[in-house]
Amino acid sequence: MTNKPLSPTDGMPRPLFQKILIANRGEIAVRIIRACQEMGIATVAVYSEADAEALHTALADEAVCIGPPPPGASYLRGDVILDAARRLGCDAVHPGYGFLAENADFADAVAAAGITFIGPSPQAMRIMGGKTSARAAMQQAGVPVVPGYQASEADADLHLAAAEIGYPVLVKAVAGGGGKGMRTVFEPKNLAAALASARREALNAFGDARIYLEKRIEQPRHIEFQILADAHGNIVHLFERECSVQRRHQKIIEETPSPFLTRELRARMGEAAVAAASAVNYVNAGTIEFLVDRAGNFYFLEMNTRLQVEHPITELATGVDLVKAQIRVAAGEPLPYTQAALSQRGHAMECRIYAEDPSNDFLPAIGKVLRAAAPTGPGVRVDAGIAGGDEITRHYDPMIAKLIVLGEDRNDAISRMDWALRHYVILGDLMTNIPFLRDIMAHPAFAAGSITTNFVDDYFGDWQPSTEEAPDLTFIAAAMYEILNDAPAVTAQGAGGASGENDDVYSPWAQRTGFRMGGD
Amino acid sequence: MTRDFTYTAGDRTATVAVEKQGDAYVVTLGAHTYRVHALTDARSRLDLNVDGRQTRAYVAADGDARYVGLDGATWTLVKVDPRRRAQRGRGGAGDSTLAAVMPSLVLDVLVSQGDAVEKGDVLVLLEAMKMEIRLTAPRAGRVEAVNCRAGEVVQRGQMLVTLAQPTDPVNGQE
Repeated sequence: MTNKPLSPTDGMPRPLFQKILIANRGEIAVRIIRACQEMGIATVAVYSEADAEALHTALADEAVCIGPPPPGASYLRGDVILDAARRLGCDAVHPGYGFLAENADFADAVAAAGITFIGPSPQAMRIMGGKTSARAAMQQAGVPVVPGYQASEADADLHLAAAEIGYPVLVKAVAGGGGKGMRTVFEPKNLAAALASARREALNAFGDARIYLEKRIEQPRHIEFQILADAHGNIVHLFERECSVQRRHQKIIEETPSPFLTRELRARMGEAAVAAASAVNYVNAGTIEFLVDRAGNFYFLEMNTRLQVEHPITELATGVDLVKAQIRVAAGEPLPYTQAALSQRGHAMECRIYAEDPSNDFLPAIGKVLRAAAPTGPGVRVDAGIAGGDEITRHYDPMIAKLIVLGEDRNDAISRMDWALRHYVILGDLMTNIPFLRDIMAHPAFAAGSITTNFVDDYFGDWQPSTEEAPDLTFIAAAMYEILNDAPAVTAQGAGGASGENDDVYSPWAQRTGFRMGGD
Repeated sequence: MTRDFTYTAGDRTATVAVEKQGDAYVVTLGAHTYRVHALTDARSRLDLNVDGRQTRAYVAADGDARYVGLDGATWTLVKVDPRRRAQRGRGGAGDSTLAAVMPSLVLDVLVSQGDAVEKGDVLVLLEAMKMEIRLTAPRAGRVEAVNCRAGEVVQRGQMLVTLAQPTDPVNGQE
C-alpha cells in the first residue's frame, strides 16, 4: 500500500458542500463563484451559447453549455440545469437572482434529486411569490399592506374596486416584479386599456396574465430590509437598504443607512420584517420591501425570496458576507450572530452601471465592450460580470456592473462614488449611464437625501448628456494611440483599404504585448 | 517626419499633426502646439504628459471609430480619410422615418399605409428584454409606408414606419 501524501487541506475543516452549481450568469454568478472559492467549494458554471466566453463561464472549475441564448432555452431550463448538477456530482445549487431563483417548482425538483437548493423552502417561495397570497399572509401576521383589490379578474369588478380605492391606482401583475406588467392609471377612462396592456406584458414576461389593483402611495420611498434566517428558528434583520432612486421602476442607486429612517422607525420596520419572514417559516436570505410615505407609515410591498442585486451595500455596512451566510445556512449551520450583535457602520452606496441611454427613456443599449477598466482603491468594490470583448446582447439584462463604495458618512460615500464613477472606463459602441449617475451624485436634492421613487422623473425627466465640444486632449489621446500602436497614418495608407468595417475588433490591442515607451 | 490624423467628434473635426522631437512629441492642433510625453500599456491605456500636466486616457479602436475615455467622460471619434471626407454628409431623414433603436421583436403594428396619425400616437409596439417599447409619432401626419410585421425581429436602425413629408412647404428647403 502506498502512503497517502500529505495534502495541504489535511487538518482543515471539511467544506460544507463539495461542489456547487451556479444556475445563473453575469456578475452574480461571478460573485457566488468567488464565495465558493474562498470556502474551498468546487464550482460548476452553466452558460448559454451566447456566454461561451463570458467571465462566469471562465472562472468556474467546470462549465456546462445548457442551450441557445434566449433564457427560455437555457437559463430557465431547470431540467437541463438539474441534469448537469446530477451528472457532475454537485451537492448544492445556488440560483443567484432572477431566472430560476424564485421558481418553487425548480427548488422542489432540486430537493427531489437529493441536492440542496441554496434558498428558502418551496412553500415559502410559493406564498411570497404570489402577490395575493403574500398580502394575505402579511395581513394575518399584522404586517401593514398597501390597500388594494385582488378578489376578481373581471374588468367590471376591477372598475368598481378602482373607484373604491380611489385614483390614481396601480395595475400590477400577480407574478410580477421589476415594474413589468405594471401601469399607473389616473382616470377611470384609461383603466380598460391599462388592464389589457398590463395583462399582455405580464403574460409575456411571466407566463401569467393575472393582475390586481393597488392604491398608489404618493411620493413614496422604497426601503427594504435584509433578513437572514437559519433552520433552527433564528431570524435576524441586517437593517435597511434605501432604494428609492429608480428608473422604469427598477433601482439604479441603493444606499444604507437610509437618510430618512430614524432609529425608532428603523427598529419598528426591522421588527415587521422579521415578523413577515417568520410568518412563512422563512429560512435563508430574503428581503422585505416596504413603501414608506412622507409621514413614515410603511407598507409591505413584497418579499424577494432570494439574494438581491443590491446585497453588497449590506455586506459593506454590516461586515456580513451574505453569500457565504446563505451557503452556511443551507448546510444547516445556525446563525453565528444575534440581532443585538449586528450594527451598521459607515455609509454604503451602490450604483448600477447599465448599458442604456438615459436621455431616451433608458432604452437598453446593445453593443460590445472593447475595453473596461474598473476603479480600485480604499472603500471601492466592483461586482462585474463582463470583461473587455464581452457583448451586451438583447437576450439579457444590460447591467454591466455594480459599483459599490463604503464611506465614513453619506457625504463621504457620495464623493467616493463620484471619484469611482469618474474612474470607471467602459469603451465601445454602447452608451452607459455613468454620466447620468455622476449628475445625480452632484445634484443638491440627492445630497439632501430628499429621494422618493419619483426622484428621477422629478429632477432628471429631461436629462440630456453634455453637449460640450470634445476638448483638444481627446484628439491628442487618439493620435498618440495611433502613434504608439504603430497604426499607419492616413497619409501612408492606400485609399482603397479603409472600409470602415472591421470585424476583428480585438485587433487594435489584444494582440499586442509588451510595454512601449513614447521616447524609444 | 510629421504624421497627420484627422478625427470627427460630434460637430468638431480636427487634424492632429504629430512630430517626434527627441524623447517627446510635438503635437499641433489648429493654432495650438503641445509638447507631449506618452506611455502606453500597449492595449488601450495612455499616460499622457501634455505641457507638464499629467492625464490618464483610455483609447479603444473599432474600424474607424476611436473611443476615448478621459476624466470620466467617454468620447466617440471617427477617424476620417481626408480624401473621402467630401463624400460624407448628413443623410438623416428628419422626423419622417421611425427606426428601431435596438434589436427587438415587433409585437404589434397599429397603423397601416395611408392612416392619419396625431403626434404621440403609438405606431408600433416593440419588445426587447421583456419590456414593451412604444414607437410613437413625433408629429401629426399620414403614414406613407410600414416596413415591419408583427412577429418580426428587427435590427437597430431598421426603418419601421415612414410618415409622409408635411405638405406645408414653408420649411421645405434642404
